[in-house]
Amino acid sequence: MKTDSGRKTRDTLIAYGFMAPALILLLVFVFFPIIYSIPLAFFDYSVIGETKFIGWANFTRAIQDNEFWISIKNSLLFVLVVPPIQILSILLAILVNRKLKGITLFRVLYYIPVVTSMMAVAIIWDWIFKPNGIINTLLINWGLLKTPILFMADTRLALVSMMFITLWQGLGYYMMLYLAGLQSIPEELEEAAVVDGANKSQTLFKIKIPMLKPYVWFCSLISVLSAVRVFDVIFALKDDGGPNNATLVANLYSYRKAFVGFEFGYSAAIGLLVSVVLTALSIVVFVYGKKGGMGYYND
Amino acid sequence: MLKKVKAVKLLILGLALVMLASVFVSAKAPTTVDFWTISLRPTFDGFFNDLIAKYEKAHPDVKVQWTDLPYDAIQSKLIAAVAGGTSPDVVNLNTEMALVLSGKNALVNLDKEATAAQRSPYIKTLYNSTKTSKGAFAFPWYGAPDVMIYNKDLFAKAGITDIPKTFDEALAFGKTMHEKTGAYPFIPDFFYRIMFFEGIPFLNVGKTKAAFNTPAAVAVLKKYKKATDENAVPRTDWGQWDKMLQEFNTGKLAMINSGPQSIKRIKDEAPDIYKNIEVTSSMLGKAGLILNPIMNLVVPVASKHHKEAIAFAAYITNDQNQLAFSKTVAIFPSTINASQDPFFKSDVSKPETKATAIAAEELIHTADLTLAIPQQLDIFTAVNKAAEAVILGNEDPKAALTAAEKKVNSILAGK
Repeated sequence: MKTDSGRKTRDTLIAYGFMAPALILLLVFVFFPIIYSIPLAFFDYSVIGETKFIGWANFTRAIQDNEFWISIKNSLLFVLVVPPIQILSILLAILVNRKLKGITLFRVLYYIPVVTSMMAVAIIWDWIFKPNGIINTLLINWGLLKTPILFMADTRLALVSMMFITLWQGLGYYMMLYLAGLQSIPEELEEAAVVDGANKSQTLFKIKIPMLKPYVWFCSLISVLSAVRVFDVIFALKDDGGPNNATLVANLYSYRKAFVGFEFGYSAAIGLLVSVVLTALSIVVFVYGKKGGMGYYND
Repeated sequence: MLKKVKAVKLLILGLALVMLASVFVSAKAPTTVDFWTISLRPTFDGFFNDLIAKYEKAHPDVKVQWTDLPYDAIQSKLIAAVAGGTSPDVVNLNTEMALVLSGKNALVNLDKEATAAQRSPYIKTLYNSTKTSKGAFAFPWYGAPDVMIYNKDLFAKAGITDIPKTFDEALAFGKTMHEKTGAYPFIPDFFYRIMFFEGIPFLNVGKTKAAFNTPAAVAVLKKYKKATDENAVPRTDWGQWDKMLQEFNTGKLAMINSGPQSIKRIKDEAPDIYKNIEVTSSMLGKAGLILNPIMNLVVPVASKHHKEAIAFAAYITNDQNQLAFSKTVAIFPSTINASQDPFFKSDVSKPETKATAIAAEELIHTADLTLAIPQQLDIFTAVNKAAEAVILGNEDPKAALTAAEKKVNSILAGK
């Protein structure tokens, strides 16, 4: 007969066994590169040429580098996509959280962009946004425009266009999270409110949204982090960060320094500085957003 | 007797040593030269396999391993291979990539390690495309001088009978053509190339400072700004060869300055357009220069077989093999003798071959448009961004060029 402690040890070993493959992958492809980038930031390192220790030079260069600051500014501007994406996702979640016939189809439709490859999304939107693409052609044919709107080429519109694509693709993902949140709200709460005479908007603003607050906090956090780390959509559509640096975000700048300019040390330094920005933003979201859920009623 | 035994023993030992040595020599594995090219398979499998087989036959101590990679992947694959200690020995790179890598001391200096005979067959200007203050870092291979391909139908619809010889002539009728046909006459090239075409010097003689912020450069930028404002040329996709070809193949563009090989693409992808094309000399700017982008062969410093790699790269790019390659596809050799072969002017019956004949005539006016310094890519990017700021961001041309000048000077100062 096995003892309790023996069973516990066996269960622990099994648990570690299941976790091991993912943990090994994370160690090799995530944690090791992150740790390795720290010393790398202090070297003039191109992989293929000579490697020299240069102290803080990569960091001082970044601070004096105008394009680095432009890339940080653009990454921070990208965070502006967070409020609309969260508000629209909540509204969509409320919309599809009904017991209607065929509602599952709508949920699936809204979720399709999330599982579509970013390259495919980029190609579709490039086609839609082109000067002779579908939007411009329709607007010109209807007499609403004389010259096409340069969604991707106008320095004032390029980043906004990228933000719109991100919003379009991300809506379904956050909608699903909020839907899970809405479905976890105890029905008795809503029923009790209705019995007490609350109308639909009161149940929405006094029951549903406060109860969703932990979800809002979590979604906002990952959305802010994703916005600052944005790369794929811009790389797919404007891999040089153009026009005139309008879409040059921090991760793209870091990538270009490493894989176009072979300045891996400088790229690592940029990555570390971006991680400082990310940490600061995470703290802000943590401090201002963690209240909610049942705690809302306990205060 | 003892002496005899000793002598026999010595003889046996000697024989054993000789046998051992011969076994050792005969067992020595041949040197493997790892040869990387860009987008040549499967179209040229037969040609290169044959070339490699001939080389291996003539050099039994060398075995060539051929790998072909897409253009976009070669740079990152090269980094990964060098980092992993498995560097290739001979690599096909364009001039820009070769210059960036030379700046990182990653390429073999051919002025130092190649023999005079190996360096001699090339057209001087092309060999000098990668020649920095430290030396030359590539053997030039094949090029594709621009010719001008135009859609006769669009010219007829626009009522334009004179085919333009210069960019200025094309800009002058651009608005009319767009209004009458809905097609633009041409899509401008990257602004840094426009500066070369218009004869605007990039850098000072010592290549230590920017020299392009001049009234002439401001005038060129203003001219193109005016042309875009009038809808004579588009504001986007400058220098994007794929987009130009796409627009040309769908009848939305009247002309493209491009290498003769583009005609095959037009023929395959847009047979109806192909029926209406004609070929003539490339449009010119004030400098009279024609673009001839070059592919090169380089030897990474990390290669373990510099001597064998240089010899193989010289073999692939020699007169005979470049001429043979040029006969299989509409490209141009970079060696003096091969480029003067009558083959290039022998057939003008089809647009493809006529383009080759025109390119042969133009050759003396062509250049790879290079600054021959490792910072070239960053400098060209800064200049292109100045044009984007003006054309797409409505900035003042003088202010945009001044900002680019500042950026270029800081790049040259190593900041």
